[in-house]
Amino acid sequence: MKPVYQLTRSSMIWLVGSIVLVLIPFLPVLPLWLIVLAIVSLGWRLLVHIGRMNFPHWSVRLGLLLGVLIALLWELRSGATMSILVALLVASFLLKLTEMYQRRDALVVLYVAFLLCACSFLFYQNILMAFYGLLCLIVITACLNTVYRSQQNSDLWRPLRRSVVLYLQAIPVMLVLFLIFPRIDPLWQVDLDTGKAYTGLSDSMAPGDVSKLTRSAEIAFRVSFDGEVPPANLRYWRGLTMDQFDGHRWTRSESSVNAGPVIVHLSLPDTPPDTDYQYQIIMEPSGQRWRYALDRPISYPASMMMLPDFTLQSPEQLQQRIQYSVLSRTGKSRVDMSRTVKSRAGKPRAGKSGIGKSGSGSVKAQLSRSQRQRYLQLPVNGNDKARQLAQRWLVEQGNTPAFVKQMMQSFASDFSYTLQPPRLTGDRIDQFLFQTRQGFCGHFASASVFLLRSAGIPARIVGGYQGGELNPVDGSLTVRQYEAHAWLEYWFNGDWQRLDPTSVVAPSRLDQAADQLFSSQEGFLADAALMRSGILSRGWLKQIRQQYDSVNYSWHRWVLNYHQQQNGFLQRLLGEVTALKLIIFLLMPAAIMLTVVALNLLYRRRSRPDPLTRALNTLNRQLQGRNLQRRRGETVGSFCQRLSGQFPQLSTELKQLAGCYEKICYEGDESSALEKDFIAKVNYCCRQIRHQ
Amino acid sequence: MIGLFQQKLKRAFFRWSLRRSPRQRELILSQKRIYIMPSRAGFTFLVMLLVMLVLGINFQNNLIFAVTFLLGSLFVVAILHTYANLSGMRIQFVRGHPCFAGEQAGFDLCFSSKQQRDYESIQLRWQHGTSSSFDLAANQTRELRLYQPTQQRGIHKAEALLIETFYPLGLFRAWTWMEADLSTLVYPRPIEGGQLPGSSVSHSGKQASEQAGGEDFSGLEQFQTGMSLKRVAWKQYARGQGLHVKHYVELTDNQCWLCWEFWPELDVEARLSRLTWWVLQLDRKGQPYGLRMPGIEIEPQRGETHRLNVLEALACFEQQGGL
Repeated sequence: MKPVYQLTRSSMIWLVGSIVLVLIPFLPVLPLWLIVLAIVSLGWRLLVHIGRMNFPHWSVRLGLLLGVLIALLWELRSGATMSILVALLVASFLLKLTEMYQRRDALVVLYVAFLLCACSFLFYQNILMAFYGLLCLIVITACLNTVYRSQQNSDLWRPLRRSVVLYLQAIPVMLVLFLIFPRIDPLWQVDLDTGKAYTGLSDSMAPGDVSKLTRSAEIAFRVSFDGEVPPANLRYWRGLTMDQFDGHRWTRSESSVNAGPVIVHLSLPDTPPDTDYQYQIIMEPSGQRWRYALDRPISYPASMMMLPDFTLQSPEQLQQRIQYSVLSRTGKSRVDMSRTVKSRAGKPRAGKSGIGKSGSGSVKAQLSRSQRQRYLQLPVNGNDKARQLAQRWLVEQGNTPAFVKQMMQSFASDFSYTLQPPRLTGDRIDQFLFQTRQGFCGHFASASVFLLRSAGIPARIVGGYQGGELNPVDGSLTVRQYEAHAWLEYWFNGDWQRLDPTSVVAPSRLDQAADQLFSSQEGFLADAALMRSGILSRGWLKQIRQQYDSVNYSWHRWVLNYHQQQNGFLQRLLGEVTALKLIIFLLMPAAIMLTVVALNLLYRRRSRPDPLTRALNTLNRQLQGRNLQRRRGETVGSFCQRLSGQFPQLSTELKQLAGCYEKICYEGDESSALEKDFIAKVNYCCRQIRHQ
Repeated sequence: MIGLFQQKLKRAFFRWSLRRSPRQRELILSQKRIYIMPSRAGFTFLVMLLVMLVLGINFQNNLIFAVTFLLGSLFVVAILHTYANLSGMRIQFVRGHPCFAGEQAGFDLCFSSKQQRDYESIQLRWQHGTSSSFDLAANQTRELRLYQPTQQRGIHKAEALLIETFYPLGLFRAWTWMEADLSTLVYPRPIEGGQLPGSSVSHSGKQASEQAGGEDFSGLEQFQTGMSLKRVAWKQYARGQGLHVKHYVELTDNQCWLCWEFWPELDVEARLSRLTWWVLQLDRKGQPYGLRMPGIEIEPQRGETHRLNVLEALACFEQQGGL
């Protein structure tokens, strides 16, 4: 029989506490059977601890182990590797829990708990979670402390206090490490597949898709502007354009996605500088390759490339929050399309170097033949009534602006906006235009592009977000999923013109925040009850929410995305960053901090002796010069007697003094008057001796 | 191979650390003699931190970085705490308790803390003993008796003492080896056997008279400190009549001498063992006895002091030095 390591009571309590705390964040991720296993093994361990049950027989443990392994292999089908990894860790430490014989076994459990605590940040990264994580660490450390305490010492709260002290001392060193430690690129490519489905725009749109987003109040991205914030009607965040229509669904054509990057030439004269906006975007994971930017980005990070439709694209799907900064030019400034250069072979060019100057702005851009074809593509047949309508309008109006005007007027007068449109079947465009006449942005954009293309005007759908909630606290803009939007662009006068039919159907969609506009609609924010109730958008609660959002923004920018800020931050702090400077900067504060801790720990003031001893010590110091000090082992009585031999004039005082001392120390008379009397007498003797 | 190397290294370090400090009666632990290294658990912890760091790097997750650095800093801070858990402790080697060969010799050690700081979970171990642990609160003094096995009779010097601690997190082991300036007597192992030659018992020409310490019970007398516990009248004590000792009288002259020449067939150690056994026997009976050995003669007497004298003579027979 192996020796059973008996955890102390406090150890057990802290162990259960840390396991429960660590497991809570994983509840949504873990399969149900693991949660059951957790409860069973914790319960079993507790019963073992109080002596109601034995440790499980080896056959039971073997059975459990095999069962868990098979179940984990079974889980592998789902392909969510991260949650499997976590499940493996959880299972291992639960199984270890049922066979704790030695201190080493308890350590295994606790170290895995540390790892799990770190892993929970793969799933959640908000501020609250960070504090929760710290709490977990403190509790696990307290438990680690109890494991190393002697068995007879089982004070419950002392380990927690000890652990908090340890962390308080460790945090300053940690901050320095966090700031300085160089962020290396991933050692190998990892697939952060947490098994989480992303909400957000998809790369195809059949009217009906966007409404799913209005059910969600999740954040799509946050923006902070370096200068002024563009007005609400310019906040069109472009994500992707869709040019292929099959009568039901809009998609991106292969050629538009793989066209390769463009080099943009800006036409010089008509670009007033005040329409430039410089901003940073922190984009939440979307699982997609496109990145959002205001219309029209002219400077963007080197890691991205610009497609011919002026959307930004990155080589990788976005699995983690990123931060990038973009310079956009809105309004009338236009980009010279005719000079776009396709470089299939070349690597993506940095946006910054992509800003060129074209010789003249007077030459009107032309669409190439293939581009024209692409942006006029329609299904061969279907939706005949819509095609006829477009032809009629073209004949009536004659030119493109008049056609567009006619179309918008028609939308404004006869159509209404709803988040819960009737179902469309068959010739969807016809049905929408002539029967239901209700819909949301996707319906309007889709019908408009169909009409425009039918009339021979090149057009495309643009998917992205419109609006964003401005936080007055820090001037940042939060764009949520329910602000997803679809609009269109048509080719006119040598450039793509933005057209948003929704703006005429529901003008308030642009001016008002989406949550106010939609709040009466049933489907809006169906998944976010708190947001929908509107409680959070009123009065002081709104202020609190905005404060929180602002803090959250800084959190995202400075903590969660620190690896993207580090270079700039260190440069501002240190000037040119050299290895030497870094080391000094790292070592100095750490050394100072550790010195403080060490001094605090090691040079605790010696405990003060009691007042009687202190008084006697002063007397002793007086006598040291004459070599008359109290000898080792000499009682106060004999000491006083010896002194009265030396100082006969003090003999009565000394005698009283000795009596006093004996009374206090040996007769248990601890009245303060007696103590004062004693001290006064000693002082008197001191003075007398000094004057002699 | 590595294990062997490790063993060698350990032994070399052990010898080196003992050479650095002379045997002492009292000492205060300071950086001069406290060694500190990550424990095995500490190295495992570092490996775990490495795993975490790789997680953080690969997922570009700054919160995981933060956890890694926090635990890393904790590791560093733990150095100080573990060191502080030994530093400043005063150790006094008080006394050793004699025992018979093969038994455990006890040594009294006194630990005290002059500082406002608790010492927790300090582990003590003789070089070849098992470990025991204790806590020491601030301004407290604590006396412990530690045992170590003995093999041979004679003067037994205390082995090297290991004081170590893993507190507070087990990540580090702070330890020190010290050799106490402490020794004790180990009496020969008592082995039963042989007979006392009856004729050679009597050496005094006194008349048989009533002599205390004999075999016949004559009454009770008040217990006084120093009296043999073997004669305590427990029955009377249990009845609540106070602590008494049984008083025996000896009606015959019963003095005896234990002589070296009694058992010529035995070698030195065996003879000493048998003599020891007889000393204990006679002492139990309360019979006066004397010891006669080459170079040693102790007059017949009774009592605790006498017994200790005799045993010491036996223990130190033909050995250099003394206590």
